[in-house]
Amino acid sequence: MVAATCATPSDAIVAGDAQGAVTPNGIGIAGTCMTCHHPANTHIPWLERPTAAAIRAQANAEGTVMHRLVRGLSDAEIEAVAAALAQAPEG
Amino acid sequence: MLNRRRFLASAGVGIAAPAAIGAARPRVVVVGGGFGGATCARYLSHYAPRLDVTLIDPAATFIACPMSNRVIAGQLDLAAISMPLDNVGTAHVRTTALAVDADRRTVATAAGDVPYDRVVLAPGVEFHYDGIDGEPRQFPHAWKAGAETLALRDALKAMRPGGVFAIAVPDNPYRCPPGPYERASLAAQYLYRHNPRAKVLILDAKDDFTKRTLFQEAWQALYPGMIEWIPRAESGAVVAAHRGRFITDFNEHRVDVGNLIPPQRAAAIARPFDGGRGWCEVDARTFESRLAPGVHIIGDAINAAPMPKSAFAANNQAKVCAAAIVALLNGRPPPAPLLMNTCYSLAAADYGFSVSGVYDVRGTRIAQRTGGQSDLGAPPIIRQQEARYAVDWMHAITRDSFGVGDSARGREVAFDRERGDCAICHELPGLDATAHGDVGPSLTRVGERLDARTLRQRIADPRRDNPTSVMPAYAKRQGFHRPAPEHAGRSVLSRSELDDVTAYLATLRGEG
Repeated sequence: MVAATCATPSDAIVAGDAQGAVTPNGIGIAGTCMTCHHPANTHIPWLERPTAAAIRAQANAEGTVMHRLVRGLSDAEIEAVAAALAQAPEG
Repeated sequence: MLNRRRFLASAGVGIAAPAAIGAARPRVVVVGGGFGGATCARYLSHYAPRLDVTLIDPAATFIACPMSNRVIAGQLDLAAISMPLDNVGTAHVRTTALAVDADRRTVATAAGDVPYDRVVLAPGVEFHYDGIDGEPRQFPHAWKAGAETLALRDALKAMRPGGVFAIAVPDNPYRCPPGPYERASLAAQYLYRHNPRAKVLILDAKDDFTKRTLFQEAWQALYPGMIEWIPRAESGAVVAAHRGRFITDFNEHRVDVGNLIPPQRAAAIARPFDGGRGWCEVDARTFESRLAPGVHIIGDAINAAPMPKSAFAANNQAKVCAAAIVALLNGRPPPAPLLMNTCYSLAAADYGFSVSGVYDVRGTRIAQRTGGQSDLGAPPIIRQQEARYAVDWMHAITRDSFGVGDSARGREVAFDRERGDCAICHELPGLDATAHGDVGPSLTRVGERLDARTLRQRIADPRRDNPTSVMPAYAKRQGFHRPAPEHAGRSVLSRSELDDVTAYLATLRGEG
């Protein structure tokens, strides 16, 4: 098992408790988030189980890549990724 | 609490169907241990732990192209971008894959045939010199990081005062579209300080490039007059390269240090699936070849336009591909993919900007939904922030793709008296005999003795291998005698710190 030897946030997501409306699409998008977000990061913040509203608010956040990415997500995709990220335990 | 398998099954991509996977353990072979291949192998194992996943790559360590320009500019060591493949978490066969027999479903390797149910090719690119006469191979490309990266770094450092560092850039498509211009920028940063009369010349086989206005704004602000870009329309395409000279259609340029980035195409093992076009065509819902069922191809070897050939794109395609393979093996439709890309570029160590995009699949092809780049005219603090994001991105993606920690951060933890404090018992590089203990063995060459997996286990719980060890178990959370309340249930090192220290110790090989 990968998680036994090299834990990462992405391990956490796929191994976490599924208590919300987690969809394959949500897991897929959450996996993309892990390409930049990691709890050991210094500047790019770790995703502390963001709500859909918090993700949606990033569409207006200037100075990062997030507004460009979030503007490309539908409401359903934002809800799906929020549900998937809600399963991730702390890093 | 749900375990991974039930979680994924609930999500519709899991492996709940024993008839499909439980009985026979289908085998997926992944060829190539770069950002695409390593990520795909890892995520296949995440999504379906009972799959038999084998990674084939002859190298023990993958050296990343992202941030390799910082090595050329003397800002990083090669070790900082070197990723051991033994942390990927699947079987790793260290041999060269030679060919895929899609009918027999085998991969021919230097060590014999490897059967598969599905194969993922992530071989990257190969170079060709069609259209470039002379001796172009005498110039390092440094477009696969490694020995040529160091050669270019050393040549830049040794260049005569006032010399010309010339970069020949191919036409699209090629790996890492903004890479040549980042290289020019970081070389200029080095030269601006150490060889201020030097010049950086970019000879380009095209008339535009990604983030051009951002780069040019940075060049004007940071290195005025030092970098010259000559597009194709102004005779920028190099058609011949000789010792000390790059030749274009109408000009000859004297070159003190030449960096010739050749045209590229899919690496040889993927070429039978490129339809003669140089890049492989895939169904973007699954990344399965349009020419060979059961053969999936990801990363730089495919035509994924409008996605660029980037590490982020390869990592992202790998995850989509892994989820699709697990679904297909279960007889289910693959999840609808959503793809993203972000490329950070550095014009200086503290000056960065980015381009990013969101993509979906329409029919079987990738289409861009949205995208954009950093704003022109942004204040320095924003450029500094994006440079810091670029560094964080590198840390995150390498952990995600390779399961490795960050060796630089691991060094900090190892020396930190409040965290790792390895020196209290062990010799570490750079410490004199009065500054370290000797209860434990010297660690100055521990990377030669132990692989990363063993190192991590020894740090996490040394008594697993040696019940009489007096070394603390740095990942242990329970079983302490009357711990202080603030330490109850907590380990000395976090999982991330454990990965980081492991990565640092793995680099200790007595070199330098």
